[in-house]
Amino acid sequence: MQDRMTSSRERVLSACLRKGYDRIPIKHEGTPEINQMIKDHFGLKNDEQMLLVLGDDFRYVEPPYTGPELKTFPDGSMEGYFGERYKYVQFEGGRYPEPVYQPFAGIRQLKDLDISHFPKSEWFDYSQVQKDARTLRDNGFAVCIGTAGDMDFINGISRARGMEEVLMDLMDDNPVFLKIMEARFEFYYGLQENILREAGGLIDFAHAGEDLGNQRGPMISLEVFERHFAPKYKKYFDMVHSYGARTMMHMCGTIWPFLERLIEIGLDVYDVVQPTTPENDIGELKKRFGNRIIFQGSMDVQNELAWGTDEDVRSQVKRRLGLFPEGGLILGPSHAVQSGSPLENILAMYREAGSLMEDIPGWIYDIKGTEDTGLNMSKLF
Amino acid sequence: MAILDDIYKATTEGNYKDMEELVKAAVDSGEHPNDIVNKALSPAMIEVGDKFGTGELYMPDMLLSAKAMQTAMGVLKPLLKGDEALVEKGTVVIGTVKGDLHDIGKNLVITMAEGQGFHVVDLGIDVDYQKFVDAVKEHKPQIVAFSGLLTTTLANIPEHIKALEDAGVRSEIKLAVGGAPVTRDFADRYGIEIYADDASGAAKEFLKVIS
Repeated sequence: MQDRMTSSRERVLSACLRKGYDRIPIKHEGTPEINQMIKDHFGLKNDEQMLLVLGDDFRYVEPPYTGPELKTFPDGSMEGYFGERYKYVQFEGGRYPEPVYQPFAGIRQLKDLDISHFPKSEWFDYSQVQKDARTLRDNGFAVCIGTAGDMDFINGISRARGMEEVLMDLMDDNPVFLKIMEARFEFYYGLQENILREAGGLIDFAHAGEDLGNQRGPMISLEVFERHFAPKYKKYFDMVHSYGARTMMHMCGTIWPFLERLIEIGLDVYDVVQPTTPENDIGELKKRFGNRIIFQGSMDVQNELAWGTDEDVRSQVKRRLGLFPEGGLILGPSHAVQSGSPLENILAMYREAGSLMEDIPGWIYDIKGTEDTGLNMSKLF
Repeated sequence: MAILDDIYKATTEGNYKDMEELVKAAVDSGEHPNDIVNKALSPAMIEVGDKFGTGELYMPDMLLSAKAMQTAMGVLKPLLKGDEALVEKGTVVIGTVKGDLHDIGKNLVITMAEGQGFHVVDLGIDVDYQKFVDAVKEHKPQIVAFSGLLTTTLANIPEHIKALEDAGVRSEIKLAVGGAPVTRDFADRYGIEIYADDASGAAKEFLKVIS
């Protein structure tokens, strides 16, 4: 353990280089209901105040969307970038957006594919990117761009076409799917490159996602991954590295069979680390991949955080502190902490990690947050 | 029997494109539809399900094989009339629970169960408590199966069970549950008789229950 570090960024980068840390870096993620519960508990007014109290070491640069209006329809459904639509489905304790209109479902031939709604990376205002990145850097944060929904070909295209169809498309090399995949790649590649270029070297991490695993194992074979995904991700990773940033991929489920190849093509941070099977446990992953990749997440939102005691949570944090004494893990939940998870478990996680602000100074309550602009397509999932 | 071998192979390889032609050729050559199901389609799906269970095959492979089987059944079902109908082992009512819109797993269970000779009544997604009750009263199934993908919507399953109890039909059926966040402990906690890790396992458990 090192003496108190001067900034979150210093802590994060030192941990990534495995040169030690004053306390383990953390990155929070929670559903809106969970975040509101945390804010209500502490009397906080916005998410920035919450992140400060929890000790989140990361902040994001997000250029505003300026493209064609993403409409809301009379039935309450909301339009996404590719013309798909979502509605919030209510369940006890919260709600989740689910796709309710899939414009590309059932389209088998290219001549029937309407590409008029394909988004363009020019549809964002990049004018404040460098100023925003500089502000976050000066405030000591590790600066990130992107979201788990960037790239995200399997899930992202499934929301506009149907998961069953997409999974079969991957086997059939369906040209309609491949056209949509290429358009999605160009959009997110362009969006992130524009931000990186405008930020002028001030971005530390570029975040994207691909749920290559499910609860039981890999979603697809290594052969399918190599054929459809690896070339695109290599090109994307190379681009991110060319701007001096590290690559970060959100990958749900059991994905360890893909890690060797992902490391080879340039993945720096494996986000999520969902312990769905023994092989995807953080301890097993550390044994297998050693110091070749940085892990992020790993605290199980399906088990100890949701159903365990605060002692269970503390025990799991201690385990991770023991596994990564010099760095290599950015601690946090393995996904957004889910509605219904006990507050004491969430606080126990950050308290044991040493990041929770126990005595909140008055100035925290004066911190302004970013304006809530409603459903953010880039942060959808 | 070569044509049955070809149908078996097309199923295991997910070759839905050639399946219609193969099945028609089998029927034209005198193969009985029941034999096409029992000697080719069903055992092929069992092999696919077993390989999915061991991680040798993946979800896309299962889906393609299921599509191949559905293509075959699309040809065979109209050919079976009256007392020549596929011998049904029982009836399963299945649906994704209230508040949950996901159905891939459910649809795979349907394919595997139909492949094993069950008549399956698919209630769809986000199924209300009363809809399950009404389906039990109408179809008189041996098994009612709940599918759920979200940890949060699992909380609705006890309510589904209570609705069946309140309607007085719980004792007439066996319950099954499956889905990504479901565990055997969860099933045991709520007195659910059938639990399986995956679609192939579910179909096997259904067979055990009605035998």
